[in-house]
Amino acid sequence: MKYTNNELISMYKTMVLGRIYDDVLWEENQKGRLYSMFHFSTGQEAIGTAAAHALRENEPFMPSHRCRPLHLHRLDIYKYLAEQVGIKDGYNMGISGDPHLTLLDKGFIPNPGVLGQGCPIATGFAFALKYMKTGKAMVQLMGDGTYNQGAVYEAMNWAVVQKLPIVYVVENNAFAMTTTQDVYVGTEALSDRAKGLGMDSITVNGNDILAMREIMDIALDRARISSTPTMIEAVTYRRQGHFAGDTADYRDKSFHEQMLLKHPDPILNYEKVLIQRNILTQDEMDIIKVETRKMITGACDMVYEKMQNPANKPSIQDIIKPEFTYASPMEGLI
Amino acid sequence: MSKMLYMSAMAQAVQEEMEADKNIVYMGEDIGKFGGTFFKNGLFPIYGKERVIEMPIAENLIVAAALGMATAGMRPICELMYADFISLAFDPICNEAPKIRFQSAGKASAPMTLISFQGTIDGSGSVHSQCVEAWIANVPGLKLVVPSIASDAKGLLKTAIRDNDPVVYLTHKSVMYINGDVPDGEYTIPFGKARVAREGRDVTIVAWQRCYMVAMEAAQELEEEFGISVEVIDPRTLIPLDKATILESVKKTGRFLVVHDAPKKYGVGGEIASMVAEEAYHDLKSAPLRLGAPSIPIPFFKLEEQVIVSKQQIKEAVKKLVNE
Repeated sequence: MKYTNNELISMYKTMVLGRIYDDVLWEENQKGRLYSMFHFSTGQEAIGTAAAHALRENEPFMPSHRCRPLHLHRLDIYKYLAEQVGIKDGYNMGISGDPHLTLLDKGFIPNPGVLGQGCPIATGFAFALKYMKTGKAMVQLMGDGTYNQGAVYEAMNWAVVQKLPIVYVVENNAFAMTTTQDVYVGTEALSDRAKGLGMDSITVNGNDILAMREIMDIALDRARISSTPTMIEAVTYRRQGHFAGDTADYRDKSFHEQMLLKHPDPILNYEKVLIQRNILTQDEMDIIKVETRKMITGACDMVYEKMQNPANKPSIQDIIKPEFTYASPMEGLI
Repeated sequence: MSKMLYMSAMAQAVQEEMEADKNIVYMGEDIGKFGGTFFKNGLFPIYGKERVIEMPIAENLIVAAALGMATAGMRPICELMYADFISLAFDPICNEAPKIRFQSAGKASAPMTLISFQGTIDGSGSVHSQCVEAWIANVPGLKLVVPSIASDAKGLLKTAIRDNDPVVYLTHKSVMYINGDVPDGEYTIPFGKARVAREGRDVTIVAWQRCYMVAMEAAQELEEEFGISVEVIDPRTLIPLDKATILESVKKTGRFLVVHDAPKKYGVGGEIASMVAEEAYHDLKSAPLRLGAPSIPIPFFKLEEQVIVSKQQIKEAVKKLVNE
């Protein structure tokens, strides 16, 4: 076995953390207690988890908007949640929220609001890693909808030409917002497009954490050692609507049922493996889930309590500071 | 002090900065062996392809990659061959780069310079001749530099490269090949400091680049022909804008005209004229005036001359201000 038991358990915990965080946040939304616009990573946790664990601690990444495990793996839950619901204790004082989380010191390259536009930015970042001889590699994650933006191909083409240390992961979850792939995919596999640019690419089961982790390790090592870019198509399925609250009425029922069967829950998949290999028992996994939930609900309670005091929410006076928009003092921001 | 082309002053600025900081790279289209289309920067023979990165003709990539490099700790300079093509890189320069600092609550920055070449010179038609200040000027987080003369081209470019914000440095094809006296070696000009190019008592004109050149000629003729004394202010940077110098001048003259190549409607001249109206109302003897192009695309070849602001138009506008 390639990975130690500790590492295998750690990956399980990251997946569970991602899942339960989204579950709890949705419950909080329903209760009307903590509200935040967010996108579920549910059912796609293996991908973000594989990236989180394959990257070295000081290596950067640009997440997709469904990367909860990857986000949480490096961050403090309380400060993250505080950012998501917009109070001052958040990482960026509630200014960025989780979609535009800008935390370069923790390796988060902000994911642009216009998805797909992140690809050339991430690729420029990879150029800098090589230019500055850091020896680091990086990952950019995007969805199959994002993958149709022209900027993606401008960037991936250049990554091949310049031999940049970057791994592009496309989470193929069968939806781009409300549309299905009959609207936006003409090739057999999404990975075929990267081959057309001269980039090595592969399609893997994105719901199999061990397969994902192994391919991510290989791709990142290639990037670190020989500065070669790779594209990984991680096939998965979006179990929820596009955003929290999207009831997905546009989704065909029989298609949905078929896809759920075709792409079984990555956490349940992994639990079977862990039991089979005598790494964790069902009871132990249940305890992990209970403890994870307790930790997250605890953070929710803390954040909720903080929110009750209006002084903890940023006001226009807090954020209109010139130093938040410009490096040097600037007159006339208002 | 040496006499050199505006373009050469730019090249000197880039070379001096690249010499001083290894994290500066220059990236753009056709800047390898060809040496650059409008701006012959002279960099490739010195720094080679390691630091003079000839890019695919893919504007979105050029600017977005520069942004990625800037967030990673480099200090890239990227160039687009025509300012009109900024539309292809609008997302990185207007949607992403200026938000890095804000969304990190002031912790992160994107120190990058985008150089591009705007305006008319040779009748290149509707998509190779526009002045695009207004496209950029409404975006918080960007700085906007519009040098008119060779020495400013150098001093402002050095400041732009050293600035820790994304800076859009728009030069104009009609002024890039004009000679001027340029200080040797270290020479920087702070942003937000306008230059009073000609002192006068009767009317204040704010103009930059080609319109600045035309305004200077008009001012000379107005003095000689009608005895009207015109003060010409070159703002040098539009963001930040040196309000104090403009307001001080209006206090003295009581009359204000702003001139630019871009269409008058919704142009940056509207912002500057409104600022004067709001903040110098009691100093004004007549309503502030604006001159700009009509709201039509720039036509091809010689017809362009009839669209952009002429010396005659400036003289008439000044006379109107004085006679009111």
